[in-house]
Amino acid sequence: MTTPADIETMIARIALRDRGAFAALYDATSAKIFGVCLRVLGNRAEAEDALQEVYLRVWHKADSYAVTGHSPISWLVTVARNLCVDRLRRRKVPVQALDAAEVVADSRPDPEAQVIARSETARIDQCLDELEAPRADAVRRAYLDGETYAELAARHAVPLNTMRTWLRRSLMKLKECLTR
Amino acid sequence: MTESDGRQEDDLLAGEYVLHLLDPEARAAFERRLSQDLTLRRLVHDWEIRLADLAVDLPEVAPPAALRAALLKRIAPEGGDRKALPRWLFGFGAGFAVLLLLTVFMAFGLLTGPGERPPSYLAELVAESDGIVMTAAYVPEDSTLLISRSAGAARPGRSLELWLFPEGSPTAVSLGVLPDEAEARILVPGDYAGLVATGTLAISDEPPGGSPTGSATGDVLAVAAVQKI
Repeated sequence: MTTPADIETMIARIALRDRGAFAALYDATSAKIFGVCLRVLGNRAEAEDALQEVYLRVWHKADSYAVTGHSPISWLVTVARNLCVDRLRRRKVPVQALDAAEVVADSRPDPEAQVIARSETARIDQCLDELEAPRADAVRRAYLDGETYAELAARHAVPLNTMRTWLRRSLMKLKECLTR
Repeated sequence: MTESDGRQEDDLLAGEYVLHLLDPEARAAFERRLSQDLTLRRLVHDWEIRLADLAVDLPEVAPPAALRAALLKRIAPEGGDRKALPRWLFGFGAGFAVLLLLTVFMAFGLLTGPGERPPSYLAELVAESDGIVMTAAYVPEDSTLLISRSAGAARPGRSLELWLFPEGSPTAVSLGVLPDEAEARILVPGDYAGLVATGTLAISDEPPGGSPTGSATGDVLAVAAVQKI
């Protein structure tokens, strides 16, 4: 079973240019990271490109991991999510979102190879539940769909400044709840 | 605006930055501040950690097997690590790199007197846990590392020790204990001088005077690959 400590060791070894550790990290985490790329980009070909870019960045930037204070999975997920949102922003014509069924019907990873400790995700969901539904939705869409203030405002039919005020208040409430 | 209002505003900006909600101009301005402000970086990392949980439990999907092979080929030695360099550098924010270089040139411009050689390699060592920001610039002609610490210090009653991991080596060699001064020059022993350019530097927390064992005994505070300037 791959523990977060194992993944941390792999990242440390990757910083020292250990290709074996890089292959091991890919085997232990790529299904999780590919899931993130597919979710954010909603397009298989682009998600495959993004996945390669994520791991190339890990190869070159593994030495920056130690300074961020992230858990290893949260760091990888952050690298992947940021890169995918950057891609979304560069995208000229929006690609039709993947049907959810297509994602789920995909071959599931070998459970032995992909065991990663669950983080405190239930916690952030609980805290988002404390917000009004449209406000929680806005935070999720900004993070997972890379939506801008303008897009969120249009979706919820409120002025842009109102959306910004909503979202900033939501962030403060979320932080307060998570550090409670 | 009071000091606490300012802190809260920075915290909100950090959250908006992580969500990618700032408009391009505000984002660029925020990144300029980030490159110089450890507290702000900390706020950004905190938001990244909080929000990452939104993505951590998404369903896993196995990528096609061909991707793995392609990726391993791209990091193979003859695949050219160097070629891939500009891509990640750009992705990670060329702005950071430029600012860092400017800072270093200014710092070492003052440090190195006329007639001295400029450094050709650089590593930025940042230990957020201890608030240490340090650059190590290497002058291969003189086998000298120029250390410039812009923030932080050793823990009370402890020393900071500098280590070199030669490329591909899992073990580090000590380059010595760092002096308390913000600026220092460290002569790299002849055996290792040729290995700095492709190596990785690290600093660790050690008993006064350095590790008694020849390898790091305390926390490894920062690790950074040496890059060509």
